[in-house]
Formats: sequence, structure tokens, C-alpha cells
Amino acid sequence: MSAVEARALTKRYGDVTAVENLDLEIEEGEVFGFLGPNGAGKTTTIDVLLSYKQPTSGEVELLDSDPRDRDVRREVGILPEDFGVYPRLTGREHVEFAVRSKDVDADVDGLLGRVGLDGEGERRAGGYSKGMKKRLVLATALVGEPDLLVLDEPTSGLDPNGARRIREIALEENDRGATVFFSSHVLGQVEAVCSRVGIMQDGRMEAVNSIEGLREEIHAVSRLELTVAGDVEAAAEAARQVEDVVDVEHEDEVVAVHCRRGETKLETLDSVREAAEVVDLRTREKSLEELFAEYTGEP
Amino acid sequence: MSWRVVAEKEVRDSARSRSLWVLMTVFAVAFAGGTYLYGFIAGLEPGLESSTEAFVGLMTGQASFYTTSLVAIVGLMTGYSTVVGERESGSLKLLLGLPHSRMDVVVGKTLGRATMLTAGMIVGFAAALAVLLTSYQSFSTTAFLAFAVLTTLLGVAYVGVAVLASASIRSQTRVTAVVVGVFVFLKFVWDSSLLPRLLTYSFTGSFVDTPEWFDYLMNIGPNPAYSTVVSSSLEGFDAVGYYSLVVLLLWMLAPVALAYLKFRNSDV
Repeated sequence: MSAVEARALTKRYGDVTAVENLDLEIEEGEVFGFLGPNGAGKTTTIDVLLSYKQPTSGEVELLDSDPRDRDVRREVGILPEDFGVYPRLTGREHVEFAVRSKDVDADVDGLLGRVGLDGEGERRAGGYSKGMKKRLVLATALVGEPDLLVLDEPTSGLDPNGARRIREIALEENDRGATVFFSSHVLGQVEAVCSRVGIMQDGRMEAVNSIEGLREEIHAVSRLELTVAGDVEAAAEAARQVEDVVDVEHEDEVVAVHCRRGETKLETLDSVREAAEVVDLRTREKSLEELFAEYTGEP
Repeated sequence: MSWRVVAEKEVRDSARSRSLWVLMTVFAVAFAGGTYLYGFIAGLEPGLESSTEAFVGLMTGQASFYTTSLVAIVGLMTGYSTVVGERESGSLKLLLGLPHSRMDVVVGKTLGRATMLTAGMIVGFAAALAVLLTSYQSFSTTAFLAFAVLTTLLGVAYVGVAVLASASIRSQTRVTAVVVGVFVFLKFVWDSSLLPRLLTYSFTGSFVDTPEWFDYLMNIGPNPAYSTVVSSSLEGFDAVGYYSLVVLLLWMLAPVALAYLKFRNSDV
């Protein structure tokens, strides 16, 4: 069973194509990270998934059903990115409104406490800070233990503690059995919680994989720099012979080797030592941020 | 049935809106004041007792410009931000993120606003009632109730018209402009009989003759229809009276139905 499914989804605004021919399937029980720079089409995709917007073409299913079906909507908790609150209603009234709307029983104080709004429930939401509003809407999304949680940029605009709390809640909900769809433009926010990630760029899904899988997919994950005494040319040539070595450069007595996989470095070192004496070495792993940047073309 | 939850939220929310309270207070004061002044005029008119019937007849006849303008302004102002306000603030995403259909949202929010308007009008009519009871020789409950109920219906129709604009247009500023335009059109182009006369002329070629169907044409407008229904409720319904009642009911329902059709598939 899939929690979210989009087939050949396209959304255009006039001449502008915000989402192009997007296929996406999220299995039940996953924590799926939806990544991409601002403007990549993430929010438009989510808006279409949640029927805020009509797709230009393509199909969407949530929990294997029509996303507009009321019984399905009761099982979906939503934290939109560009939401607003009712400034004249209190925090508690917002959560109570969600409880009545979903027609469920829920511990309103417990929910407010869980998102970190202890003692703030009687205040009007108009006086809340941006982060508090976000926590409040998260509380409304959690009402009724939904099967699917869609969180669009849930951590942006929050301090590090608030962001960590949101990630903890996402994991807690996943432990309970909920599927979590977590979008962010910051990889660091999703890599710790997500079992799979999808990277969106210019309206297209560039890659969908596990974090480790993404690492392997991208060339030249590790860089090994060897300072050799002796024949630099021969050392470089020896490095080129190693499997999974992508690129070799040399300058003066330094040979720089780009390896596809982390394990390749030792093999490379052994191979080079047969051709020349290695007097020093440095290695550098690419951080996930750099991998992400490589995908999205954004520094 | 989740429109009820939406309507409840709408009432709770708008009941805390200071501008709505100001609007309702202005309405109540203007209405009671108008009752007093027009009641005074009705009392001076030769051959007329200062009766509730005479007062109601005046308010919906010669003085209908005053009554219908007041009701139109209050109704339109109560409804104009219904959908576009939430669209601009982003709370529409919160609302539609909960399990409410687009129908629930339009119906619930319109009923919520209509409830607020009705509450305001009850206060206005209560003030008018106090004036009538203290300054008139006789009081007719039937005439007053008919006046109160039909005037509220007209107000609700204007809420619906404002909701239609609010659900179809994406910017509050433009909704405001359209709503003002509707008001000006209905009052100065239609109620003044300018456009109805021109239309009649295009059929009959004469500005002098008034064909039989002129009343039917004129009463397509909500205000003339309302006036006719009120006078019919006092003097008895004829064909034009029933026709006007249907027109008034259509003005209550059709804009909301159209608002739903416009909103049903629109992007938030």
C-alpha cells in the first residue's frame, strides 16, 4: 500500500511549468524527505497532492484513494508552508477546531504540550511568533493520529531546539505507524530522520534514493591527496588503474585521486605505493550538503 | 455536515472582529435613527395614522433608498472578506487542510457570516422597535415582523453577493472594488430605473409607455423585489408579488451556489 502516489504530475501556471511529469511513490510507514532548493516546485507539488491546487495533468492518490475524499482527509495531518492562523482565535481554539473538524477525541492540552506550547493555549494566535504559529498548526495536524503527515518546510523559521523537537515528533509519529512526508530545502534537517529522500530541481524529480544510495550514485565521493617522492607520473598512472577511481590529477609531487566510494581509497594507496613512495596523505569526504549541492547545482 | 463546524468557527472568529462590531453598531444606530425620523414624517403625512403599516410602507416605499442602501452596505461589508480574507492570510490552507470539502467551506462560512448579520440586524430592529413602541399610537406585530424578516433576507442576499465576489477574485482590494461597483450599479443604474427604462425603450421604442411586464423587469433587482414583497405581505400577494418573492429567494441562493462553482476547483 502506498501513502502517497503521483503519476505523471504536471502543474503549469500560464507559460511557467512549476512541476513537470513527476512520478512519486511513498510507501506506508516511510519517513520520506522531500528536498530541493526554494523555487524547485516542492510546495506546488505538495499543494497538488493535498488538492489545494488542481493538477494541469496527471493523477494523485493519498492512502490509495482520492485525496478529496473526506474519510481520507481525516487520516492526513497537514502543516502547509505558507499557512496563516486565525488571529482572533486562541491556540486552544485552533486545536479544538481541528478536533471537531476531524470528529475525533483528542487531548488538546497534551497536543499543545507536545509541540511546546505549554501554557500558551489561552492566548490569541495573532500574538504568536512565527515559530509558535508553526507549532500550533503542527498540533492541529497531529489531531486524531493521522496515517499520513505532510510537513512542508516544518523546521524553517524555527530555532535549532524547535527544529529538533519537530524532527523528534516526526520520528515519534513514524514509530506509531504514520507515514511522514517531510520537505525541506536544508538537507541537514531531513538526513537524520528520513529513510528515503527525493531531490527536486526545476520542477523535476532528479533523484529518489536512500541517503547512502545517493552517496553512491554521485561520482567522486572521496578525495585522496597523496604526496609522493619519486615518479609522480607513474604514481598517477597506478592510481588510474584502480577500479572505482573516477579522476586523477597531479601537480608537483601531489597526486589527487577522486574515488567513487570511500573504500576505494585504501586500494588506491596500496596501488600507488607500488609505483612510488608515499610521504604524506590527506583525505576528504564530501559532506551530504555538498552532495545535495551537486544535485541541485546550488552552493 | 462539517459546514456546521465551519459556520461555528466563522461566528466565533468574526464575533471578535472589532470592525464588524463597529459596522453593526453603526447599522443599529442608523436604523433606529431612521425609524425615528421617518416615523415622524409618516405621522405628519395627511390622511395617515402613525401606524406600523404606514411606517413600514414608507421605509420600503418612498424611503426604500435609505433602507435598502443601509442593508446593502451592511450585507456586502459583512461578506466581502469571507473567502478572499482567508486566501490572503493563508488560513484557507489550514481550513482546507482539515477534512472540509469546498462545499462545506462556502456554505459554512456564508452561514456563519449570515448569522452575524442576522444578529446585528436583530439589534437594529430591537432599537427600531423601542422607537416604534414609545412614539407610535398603534403597533402591528405582523407588519413589523414581516418588515424585519424580509429586510434580514435582503441582507443575507447581499452577504451572498459579497461571498460570490470573495470566492471568485483573488485579491481583497479587487473584491472591494467589485463590491462597491455592484452597490453603485444596483442603486444608481438599476433601482433608479435608468437601465430598466433603457431596456424597455429598446423593446417598445418609447420612454413614455410602461408595458405590463415593466414591473417584472424592474423587480429582477433585489431591492425593488424586496420592496414589492414587503408591500405584498401587508396588502396581499398578486402575481408580481409572488414573482418578487421568488426573485428575492434567488438572490439569496444563486450567488452562493455560483460562489461554490467558482471556488470548487480554484487553486488556493
